[in-house]
Amino acid sequence: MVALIEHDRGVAPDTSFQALTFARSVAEQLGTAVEAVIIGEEAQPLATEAASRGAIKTWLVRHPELTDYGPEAWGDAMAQVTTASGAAAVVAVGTDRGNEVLAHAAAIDDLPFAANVVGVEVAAGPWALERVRWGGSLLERSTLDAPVKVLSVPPHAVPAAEPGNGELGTVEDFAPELDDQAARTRIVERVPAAAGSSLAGAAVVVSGGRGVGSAEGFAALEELAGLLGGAVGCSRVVTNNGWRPHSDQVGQTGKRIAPELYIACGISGAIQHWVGMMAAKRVLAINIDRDAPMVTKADYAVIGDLHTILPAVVSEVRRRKEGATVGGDG
Amino acid sequence: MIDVGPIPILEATGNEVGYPIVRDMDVFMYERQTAGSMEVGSYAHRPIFHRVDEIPSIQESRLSPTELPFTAEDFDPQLEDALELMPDLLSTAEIKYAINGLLSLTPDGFPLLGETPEVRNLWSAAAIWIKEGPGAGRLLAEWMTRGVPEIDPHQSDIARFYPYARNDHHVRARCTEHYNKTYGIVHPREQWASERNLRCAPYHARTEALGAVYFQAGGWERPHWYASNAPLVEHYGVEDRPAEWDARWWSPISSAEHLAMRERVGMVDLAPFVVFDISGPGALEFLQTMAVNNCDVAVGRSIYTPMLDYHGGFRTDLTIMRLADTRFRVVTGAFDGPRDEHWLRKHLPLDGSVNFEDRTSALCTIGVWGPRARDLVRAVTDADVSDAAFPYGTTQEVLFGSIPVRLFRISYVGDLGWEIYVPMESGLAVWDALWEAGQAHGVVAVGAGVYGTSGRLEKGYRLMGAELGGEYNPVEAGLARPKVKAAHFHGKEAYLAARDEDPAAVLCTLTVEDHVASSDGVKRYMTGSEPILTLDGERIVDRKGRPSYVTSAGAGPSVERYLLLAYLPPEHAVVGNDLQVMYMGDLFPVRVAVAGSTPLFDPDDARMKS
Amino acid sequence: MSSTAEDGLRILVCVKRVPAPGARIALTADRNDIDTRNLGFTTSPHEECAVEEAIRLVEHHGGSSTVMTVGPPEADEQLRYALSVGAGGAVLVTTEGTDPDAQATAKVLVAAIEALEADGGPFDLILFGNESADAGGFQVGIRTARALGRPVVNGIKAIEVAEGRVVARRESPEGYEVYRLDLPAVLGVKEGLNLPRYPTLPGRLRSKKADVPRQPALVVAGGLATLDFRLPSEQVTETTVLGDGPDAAAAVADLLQELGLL
Repeated sequence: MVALIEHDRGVAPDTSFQALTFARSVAEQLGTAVEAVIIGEEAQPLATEAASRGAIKTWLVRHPELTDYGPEAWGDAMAQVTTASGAAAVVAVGTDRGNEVLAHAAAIDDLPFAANVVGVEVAAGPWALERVRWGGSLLERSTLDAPVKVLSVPPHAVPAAEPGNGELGTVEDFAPELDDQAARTRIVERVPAAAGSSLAGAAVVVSGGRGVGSAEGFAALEELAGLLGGAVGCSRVVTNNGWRPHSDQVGQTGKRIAPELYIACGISGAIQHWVGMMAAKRVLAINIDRDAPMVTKADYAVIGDLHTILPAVVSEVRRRKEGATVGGDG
Repeated sequence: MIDVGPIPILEATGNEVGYPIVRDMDVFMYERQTAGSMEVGSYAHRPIFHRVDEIPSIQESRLSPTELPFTAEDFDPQLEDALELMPDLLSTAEIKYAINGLLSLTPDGFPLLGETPEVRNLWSAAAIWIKEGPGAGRLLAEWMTRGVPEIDPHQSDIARFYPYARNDHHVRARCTEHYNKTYGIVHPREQWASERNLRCAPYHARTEALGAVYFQAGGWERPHWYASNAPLVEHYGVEDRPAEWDARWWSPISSAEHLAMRERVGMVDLAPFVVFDISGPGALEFLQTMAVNNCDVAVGRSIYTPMLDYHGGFRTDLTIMRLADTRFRVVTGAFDGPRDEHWLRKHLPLDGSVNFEDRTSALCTIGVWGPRARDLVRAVTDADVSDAAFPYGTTQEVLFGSIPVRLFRISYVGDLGWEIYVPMESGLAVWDALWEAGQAHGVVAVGAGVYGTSGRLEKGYRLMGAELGGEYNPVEAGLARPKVKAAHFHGKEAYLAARDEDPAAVLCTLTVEDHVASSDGVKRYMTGSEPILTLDGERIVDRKGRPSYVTSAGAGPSVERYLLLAYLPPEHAVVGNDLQVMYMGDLFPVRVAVAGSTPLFDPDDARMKS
Repeated sequence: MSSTAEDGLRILVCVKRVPAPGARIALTADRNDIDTRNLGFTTSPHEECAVEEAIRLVEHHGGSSTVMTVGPPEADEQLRYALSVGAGGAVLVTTEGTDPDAQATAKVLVAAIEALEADGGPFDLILFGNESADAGGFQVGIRTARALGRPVVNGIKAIEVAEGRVVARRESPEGYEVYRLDLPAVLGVKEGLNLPRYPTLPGRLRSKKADVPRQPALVVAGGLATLDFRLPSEQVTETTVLGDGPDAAAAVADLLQELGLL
């Protein structure tokens, strides 16, 4: 049982060690132990950390062609280390890279690959799986018939593995055989993003849908978001109409966010949108239709025309903020 | 429906709707501005039915339950039509939104408004399309709060359907047929092709053998004229109508039947009559509260009476026979039967003192009228049917051989004769007996074209739904009697008030003075609903804001004039006054022949009282 | 900018027909499929952008764009949609019954692409969606590229072609990662790559009349077989209605304060 620990030049995203947790749940059924795979340079500290979080062995995969991320080279490496480990299954977290590396590894050996698996029942023959579709709105029960099972688990579906009781696993170097072709898809440049939307980390997101009606209609959302120190989001119909950039889009094909409060203005609540904001702690829906799915699923709702409600909310918020500044009682 | 945009000329309006909607009747399409884009819709494709229980929930709908997935294959054939109509607007803009819009369809295409006949105080506001929403809402609100809406609701009344029309099968069949007529050019007399032969008289085979051309009335197949009477056309020299539209759903045979009836005797199939027997100790009191005219008449006599709504408009008009002290027979037309039943039942006392029986399917009615009607009836019964023994307006039960039938001496066509109420199972035998006996008297089968139109119009008789409705009162309709009965009845206060004021309009009979259209020299014949204009071409509107228009139109073969009924303000309702009617874009001269209810034909009613 | 070759770019886009659900997916009674009786179908969103990108690249560099799908006969609708917005040609590889899994789909595509290339020469660029909206396998493009021996990167949100190479960008937590691939190459793209255009009426008329050749797929089932579906247990939320219309502003402000957001 091997688990890919994802990192970027030594920096592990918060999902990395979730792979170990998922792998352990499968390994326990198999009666085997979990081994970690870490590909690339600057990963030594992560190897130690993986060992402390329950990996009985950590494969540290290094090669001159693996200095920076490249899907083909990483896929080749993953396939080779999996074979070398003799693992019955290989898992990763279903991030962009996790799914990409596993897809390559599976393709190399013509193995099936099940992405975004949330449940596994191992068996002597095909395994029974449950995996998510539609960004989590539908669960598929399926069977996976393969000599080596290749699985990813959705990000945040399981917690990251905690450091263990001090028992450290071993770390083993692994040098894959890679030709220069493998590096043809390596990252050649990194461009830092201009400071822009802080949608991902915002505590409050004021988001608009079809009901906003136009690009100009977002002015009120901008204003409220500004007052609350939050960000503006939108649904897919908004980006399709060209009212907002795609970077503001929340949903299955946009961003997935988890703010303290999500204010959904004129958004009906189709699943493709819902899966992008269902992790929000609280949802306030402003909608003209009391029966809109977003309203029925929200914690709070205001019924009516957002074009009259938002300005009223803005002025009320402004009044209270100014009152507070002046020292009023709010 | 597709939404095509952006279109600069529409965006420039800055309005949701800045231009009129375009209805392209030739290709069953519309083009309508919605803000900066053009909504293009089609009614040319197949109807795509969704049963009510198959409509997706709000949750399961992509957009909403009324915005169903667009089926391009149904719409694509119309794209070229849309492009041809508006090539500049529609050729570069994008189709950003496309749906199959869900519409509520009913068998006749009208909404379902009003109190449900099944459950008291349960009101319906269903099958309303977007454009009708505000009007329907207002109408229903008035109806619920005032008891009567300002606009007569009979076309939309949820109570208007017979049982045969209140099921999925019928709804689907009729909607299949009428969907494409949504933007079709439908003839006022057009008949349904589907759902026929659902209700037939017991002598249907006989009328069929005579070549009956059936129109549907209350679901019944009712002969409108008989092909076998074609030779009468030449005999009477009846003119055909040269314009195809005017001749559609019409035949010169009808006028020939009319003349033959006036000369000899006609047999009319009246099986669609709706018959209610109302009985019990409270029957008289009940009918007195419903009817304008006094129902406390001698047994064997009858009453023709309006029934008014709470505000004095017409709710219905019908005939009541007093069969016994506590038993009355109420007869009403096929088109308003269910509404009348609802109105009557709704007001029945709750103490059980009145029994209400719908006898429509138990009794069929055959009418015999014409100067030789008495000869004909005498030939089949031993009863004394002389004028002295059986005066006009009275009813008796007699035997036709061994078959008990009820004779009612009345006429809607202005000639001597009877309505004969026959147990349904004996209908065929009675038809045959009359037909056989009638051969010696020159009997002719006469269709509803005579009964409902030409015969009626010559006598100036009013028809519910045409001349009579909630928007007019009995004074205006010329149906006010010299005295008002003491008993209370619905609408009495308004009726009394109407009698005290000068009527705002008077129902008149007009004659068409020249049928030749100035545009193309073709003789034209109005079908109804046309505006009446002054000689200057001005609209005529009465002081209550009601425009004058043709409420009924049809031939008057015996008066040799084409007749129109219309309400006119008093200053125009003057015999001999010359006005115009606009029909198909041409103006035709018309003259007021009668102001009020005096018959144009046989004004003294001598013929039917002979 | 100069185009890559004198003849411009030869581009293939592989798309998938997927249902367009609302706020809750309905399943058939046997739970073997999504109940699509009241659903429309669309091109999987990432692939709509792939089609748009191909059209733009051809508009810019010349060449040709072809759209291909492996799917039921009804997927003709999605191909014609692509044609209506400007794709040059379309090929429908028809399957019967349930969707083939990703492994099987890729094999069908590889065979079809090899056949197309045997006739018309190699494609400079083959575009896929990063993953399909419905099955979400994240692998068909990668498998196809591997089988064809061509470089492939997924998750692409910007494409530039110059001098026989494609420069592709993908989002990372810090910004963008840049990849540079020699043509012929394969890319898996994501929505946001561009803003797809909608069809015009003349475009729709053109697409209606276009010839969309069909060929049956030879499907060899892969190792992942769907049994059935279920809906995740839904958390029932009691919605507190704060009010109707602008009058609710105070209640909203109260809520914001209560949550410590104001």
